[in-house]
Amino acid sequence: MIQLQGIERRFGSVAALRGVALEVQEGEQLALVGPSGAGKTTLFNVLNFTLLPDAGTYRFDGVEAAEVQGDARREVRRRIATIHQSHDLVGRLSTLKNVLSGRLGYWGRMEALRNLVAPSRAAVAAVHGVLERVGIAEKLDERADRLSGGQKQRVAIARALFQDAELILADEPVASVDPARAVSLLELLTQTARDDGRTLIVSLHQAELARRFFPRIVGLHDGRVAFDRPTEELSEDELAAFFQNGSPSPSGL
Amino acid sequence: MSTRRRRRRPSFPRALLILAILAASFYGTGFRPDLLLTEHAVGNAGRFLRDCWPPYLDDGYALRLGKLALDTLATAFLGTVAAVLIGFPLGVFGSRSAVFGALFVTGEARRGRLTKLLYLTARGISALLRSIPELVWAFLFVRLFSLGPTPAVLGIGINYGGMLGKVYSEQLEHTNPTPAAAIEATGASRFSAFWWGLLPQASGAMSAYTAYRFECAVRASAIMGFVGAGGIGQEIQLSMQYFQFDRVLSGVLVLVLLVALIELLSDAVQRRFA
Repeated sequence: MIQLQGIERRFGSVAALRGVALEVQEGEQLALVGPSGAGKTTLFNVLNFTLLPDAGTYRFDGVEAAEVQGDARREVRRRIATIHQSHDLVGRLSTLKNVLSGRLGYWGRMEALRNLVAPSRAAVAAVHGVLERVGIAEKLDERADRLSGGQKQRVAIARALFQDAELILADEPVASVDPARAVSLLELLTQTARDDGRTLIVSLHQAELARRFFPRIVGLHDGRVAFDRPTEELSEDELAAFFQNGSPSPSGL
Repeated sequence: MSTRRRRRRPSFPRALLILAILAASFYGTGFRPDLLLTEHAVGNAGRFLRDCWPPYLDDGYALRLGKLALDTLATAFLGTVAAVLIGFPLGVFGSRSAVFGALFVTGEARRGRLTKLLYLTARGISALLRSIPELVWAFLFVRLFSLGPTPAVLGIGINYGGMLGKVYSEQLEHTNPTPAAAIEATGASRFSAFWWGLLPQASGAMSAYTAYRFECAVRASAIMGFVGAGGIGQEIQLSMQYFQFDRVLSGVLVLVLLVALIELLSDAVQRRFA
């Protein structure tokens, strides 16, 4: 489903990605680990067609990123849902509207305006269903900026689920919640993705959570893939070594 | 910013400069505050005050003033609606966060040249519209049509449209652009991302500012009555011409009442959205 080859991306003089190669099959679940500044968010922005790579090719289900524009680009983008690190909810809109906005890629102009003013009963019922799944159905009419950090995180997840995308990218979805909440959110994400047959890529900086929930772990360090292995072939020591010096081998080679 | 602050000129020469400008303004304009105290001025003021009191509030006249006040109010309202119709598109196309959408967030250099032209055109038009005062616009339109409320509505609509365009664009640019970019990332159009992601963040501030502008429009509409736009302003001006100072006072009182009411209303709207 995802094919990345030699992806490079610079921001001014800073190289965020330097030759990233990665293949992900449909329905797979993998954790992307690495320290802050490793390039995880930039990689997600390439994956969801926000940024074009400076060099290298990215194909999503056969569609090459550099070759789509306009409507074709929008059609690919609606198949990819992103849960952003800072949630990126619209604070002055209700939870309902924030979740509804996940479907905007499917609506024309008039439908978009109509649903902003008066969402249909069917749409409200559908949003309610998704909110029940993430456990905050009672916050349907609450303004998003009045929610706690953990509740916002759930709304961001609900919006991604409501988008009904084939690929879900979650950028540090548990960075702003306590450890117990982190476990329940990752259970929710991995379980719903499995139930609905969606591909899931989650970036994390906690080694133990990556090992616990994901069968495959990709380590990103300094804009490069440091390792890409099934979790069972990756020891705790190797993962700890990676977080210490950017390489799973103790010598750093 | 900090270097500029450090390079501040010493305050003594600045004070001298301000004094020099003040002196030049006095002699340049021939402003003479001492005229206020001449026998002639004091006598006129006394006669004016004597003739004012009591305000003329014959049943029929009070009603007439009420109706004229409503005319002034209606002119201001229509002018404000016209201003919103002109200012909203100018504000949207004059704000980078709206026209460039997610490109504004990622700093992508692939900004269309056409988009940039649109942005600069919107900024230019709103600067032009607001640089000419509503009274001057109204005078221009009096030449085109005739006296009456039409020139006043257009004058307010055009001048305030330019102001709203500028302020709306600033309010839209002061929003957080990332939620709209996140909406675009779901495959939504820039149009949808604007209505769902940007506008809701700015709409409160935009409504509050529009309410304040309506308040200004009521005053402007009364003033334009002096040049023939009708309403309470024209009535005051006519009474003045006929030396019916008791009617002038009634008119001024009704105007003060009207403006005070609108200020209360506008304050309430502004508090609601602040």
